[in-house]
Amino acid sequence: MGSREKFDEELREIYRMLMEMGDIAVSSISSAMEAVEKLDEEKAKVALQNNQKSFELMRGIEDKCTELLMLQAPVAGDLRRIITAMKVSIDLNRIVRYAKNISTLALDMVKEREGHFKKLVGLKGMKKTTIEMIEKAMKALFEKDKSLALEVYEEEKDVDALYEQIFRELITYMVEDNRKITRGVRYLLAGRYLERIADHACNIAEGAIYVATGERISPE
Amino acid sequence: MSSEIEIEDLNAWFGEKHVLKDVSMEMEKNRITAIIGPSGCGKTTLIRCINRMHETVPEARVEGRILLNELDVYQEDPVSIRSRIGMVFQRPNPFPTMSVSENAVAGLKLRGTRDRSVLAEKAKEVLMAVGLWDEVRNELNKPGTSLSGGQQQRLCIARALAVEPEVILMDEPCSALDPVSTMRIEDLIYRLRENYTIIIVTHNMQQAARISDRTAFLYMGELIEYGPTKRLFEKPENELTERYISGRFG
Repeated sequence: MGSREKFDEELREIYRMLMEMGDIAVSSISSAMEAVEKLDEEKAKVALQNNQKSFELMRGIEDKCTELLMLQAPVAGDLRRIITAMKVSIDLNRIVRYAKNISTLALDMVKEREGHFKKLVGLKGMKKTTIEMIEKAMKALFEKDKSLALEVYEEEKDVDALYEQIFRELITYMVEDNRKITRGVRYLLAGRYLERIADHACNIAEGAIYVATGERISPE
Repeated sequence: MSSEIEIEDLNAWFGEKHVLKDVSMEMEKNRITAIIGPSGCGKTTLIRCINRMHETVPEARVEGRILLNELDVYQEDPVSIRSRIGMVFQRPNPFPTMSVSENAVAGLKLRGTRDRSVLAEKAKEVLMAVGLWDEVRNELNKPGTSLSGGQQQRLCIARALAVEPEVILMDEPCSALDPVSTMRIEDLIYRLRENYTIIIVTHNMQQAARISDRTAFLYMGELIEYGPTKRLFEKPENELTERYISGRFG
């Protein structure tokens, strides 16, 4: 096997691992938010377990990318794909850690033995959009689709608007009844983590554009 | 004084074989231009056209214009052009019958300088310029061929500098050298750009990326892409360039 074939195979393996990390990130958010919505301890544990797996994949990608940079001196599209894989793996791992934080909030809520004092419509909306953003950014990365990547930036505005709305609503609840402060803060934190996840999805979209075109775009 | 080179619609042949096809490009003053491409793509022919060495080969022919500071090199005396555009070859080629210092100023002597003190002063100056003086100051009378490969190549660069050229052409100057000698030559080339316009043919992509300001990619006698080195190696515009520099053909 020629060295380029080996190189191509290694790069494909890196992107396979990246895809696995993407799936873990999405399932972690989904499980963590389901744990919050249904106050489900088992679902919360799923995201906690995913954290270690995601970290190991990130390390594996880092090792493989370092090896390719060291041994193959890649340039042009190959170099862009390797650099982006390293950066995206860090973003995906951060997303899984935020999902873990949401799971921890869910476990705290389970311990409080109280139901929700409101329907979590805003948080559900944030969850749905952030998952869509990650899936879209990853698809843009794999298909080298700049226009798809740009859509991710548009969706981030929706997430920010929803977070703003949740923030105002929860402040009103907490001002009216201080017994709702603890739970209200937990909802707020969950929203905050989802908002951060959306930022990382934008970073992935930025990487997708770099891979596709070599352009580095700056977020607003 | 350093110079700027403009190549306009350059075509070159070896007999019937058309080896350069309508090449047009400019090489900037005080910059290093790297020429890359697979074997037989016309890299060496291109630089040999610049100092009119191509025409010294029987049945070789050139069409088009090459301007050195707006002066058409094909309207000038070739000997004078070759002293303004120096060349360093792939394998170090010090003159075997000459000492280190004689090698350094061989070109100057050939042009008629006989004054020993002038020659000695010049030898010291160019040996210092290539970072060789401290290594050979006690061996100036030894044969040039007694030096190591890397030292010999620096001696050849010193020899090219002694006639005070404006442009230096380098044809794979490190291909016969070990990695340490290669790095020393690369450092030297990078330093020389302050005073000279340098055009380097190299098979080593990383070398082109490390030292040049602009890179030209030639393929089958055609200039496929030419631009700032960083841009060409990060996001080449041509698919063929991308495939070549990524090692997918060549």
